[in-house]
Amino acid sequence: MAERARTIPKGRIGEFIKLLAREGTLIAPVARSGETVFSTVNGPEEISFDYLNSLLPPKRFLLPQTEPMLTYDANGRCEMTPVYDEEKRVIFGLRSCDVGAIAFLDHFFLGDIPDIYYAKRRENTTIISITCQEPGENCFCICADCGPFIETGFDIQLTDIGETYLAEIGTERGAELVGKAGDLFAEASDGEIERRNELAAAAEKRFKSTTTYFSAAIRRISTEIVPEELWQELGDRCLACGGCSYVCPTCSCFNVADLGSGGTGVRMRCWDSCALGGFTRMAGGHNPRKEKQDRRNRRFYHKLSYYYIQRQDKHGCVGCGRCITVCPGEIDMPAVVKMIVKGENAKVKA
Amino acid sequence: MDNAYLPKIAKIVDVQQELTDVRTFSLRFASDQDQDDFHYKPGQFIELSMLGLGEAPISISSSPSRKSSFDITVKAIGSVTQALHAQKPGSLVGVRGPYGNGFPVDEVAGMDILFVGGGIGLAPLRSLLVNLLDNRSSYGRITLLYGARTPSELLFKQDLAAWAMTEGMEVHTTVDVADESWTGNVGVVTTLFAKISPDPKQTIAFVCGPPVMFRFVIAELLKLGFSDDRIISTLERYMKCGIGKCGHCCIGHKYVCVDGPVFNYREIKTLQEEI
Repeated sequence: MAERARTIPKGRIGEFIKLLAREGTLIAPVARSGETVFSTVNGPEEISFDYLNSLLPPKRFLLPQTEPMLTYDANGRCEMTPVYDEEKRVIFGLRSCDVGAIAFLDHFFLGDIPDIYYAKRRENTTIISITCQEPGENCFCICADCGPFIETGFDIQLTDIGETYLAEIGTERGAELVGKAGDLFAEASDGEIERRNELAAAAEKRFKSTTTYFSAAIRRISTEIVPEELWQELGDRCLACGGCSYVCPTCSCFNVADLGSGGTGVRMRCWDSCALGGFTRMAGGHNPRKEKQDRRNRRFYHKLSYYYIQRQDKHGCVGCGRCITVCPGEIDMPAVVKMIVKGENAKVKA
Repeated sequence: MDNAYLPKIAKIVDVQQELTDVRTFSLRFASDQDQDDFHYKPGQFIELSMLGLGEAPISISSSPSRKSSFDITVKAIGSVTQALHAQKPGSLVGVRGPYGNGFPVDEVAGMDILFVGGGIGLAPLRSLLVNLLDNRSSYGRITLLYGARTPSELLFKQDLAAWAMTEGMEVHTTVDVADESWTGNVGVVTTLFAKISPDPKQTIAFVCGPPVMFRFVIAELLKLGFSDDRIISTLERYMKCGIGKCGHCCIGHKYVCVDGPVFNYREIKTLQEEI
């Protein structure tokens, strides 16, 4: 790593951000109504550097809430024209959890039969992340093995080491940008790299949870020794609101619908959630996951079972903690993992 | 990179009324190149587009040895299939596919084949059965057990009659509820097992029908000594995209559209979810 890392004085980060804004639409954390959201910005003055993480993950710039797939004209020869989004984007200020989630979505959407809509957005998106040094109340990236500092997935990873940011270059694209920035960046000294490593270790120690819960939960879910009563309780507490799926940076399920009239229109896709009642309902009425407990079982099985992990290369949770913020039934990932492993917060002992 | 979500245009070249609410549509791609490039295995399905309404996953019911067109046998049950039923020969539709893993046709060469079908479940089985008959000498005895609720709901009646007359083939049918003219077996499809004596070491069973039928048929096959991997079925789920991305068709850790829809019973047991 020593030969690739650079440093940039904190006072000059604004100049680098202005360069990024010329590379594409710049998206960065912005303070809005007491929350932090990822939004398009025109310059460094609009960016909030004083934040933990955003309410919604930046996945919506790669997988939008709704997007057109093709326009159709069913009159005459029946024409269908694909609609692609090839806008260049630079997302600045992501946290390690969200970077890991994007790598997870890359593996899913680009593997086997690739998704061309995701692929075109992804190849035009640059990722510049900033490491976390102070975990939030709901953060558990360290349990999910996805932070607070990570090794890959970013084009550039910035760490605040005092007077400067240390910039780790993850890809050729990252190297290209550092090259364009000329004398903004200097080579990092051994001492500066050492400082970055010390801060990484210190950040890990600030978490209050440990890693053992996840592997135990993975084992129990994969070998089906979680009692049915626990899923029933989760089903009772779940409101089927879908909030967990919408804020989860690794969730990717979608539905497709044709919208139009008079034979012309657009085929759209939009976010969907396995929490919702009709997710598995088929024409004719048969619904294999009619019960909420079956749908809750499905969510945690998909995120944690080792059969899926083999398929996906890693488990489906990055520890961002957003599900804790939104779930009205308090059955977010850490709560359920603890219920499964230790029987905490549950009326039923696991 | 191909756009896997972009349908190709196909023309309806023929429509056959099978039952009151079931029709077989013969489709041919509008472009000859697309038709020549369309190679499928029995047990695979297509995503049929009715532009303006959406897509439905439908199994192919013809044998791949017929090159000029392919068949889908469709019950009118939702908005897409009802709109399809309103179409006549000459109408254009969208087609994506073929998708799914298909039946293991090559692996069953030399063996006896037992088909067990219920209701509309005979449609995907038909694709395999006709394909086997196209290469008759490569397979042993072929037996079909088929049941429907009433005589008027028995699918492919002309095919059933022809197959019953075919050398080396045995066909047994049954209905849950008879009408005045029915002289055959009355009872659920499992009652037909009394009429056959397959050799479980030499036979592969292919099963397709409503979910409740699976459980009882699999129990009969296990009683006869069939091993888990000699019992093969094709499962049904809401397959929206057909390419393993939208998430709707998952059973356990498998995507029915990519890992299935054909599964053997050993795989079905590992799914950790009710089929």
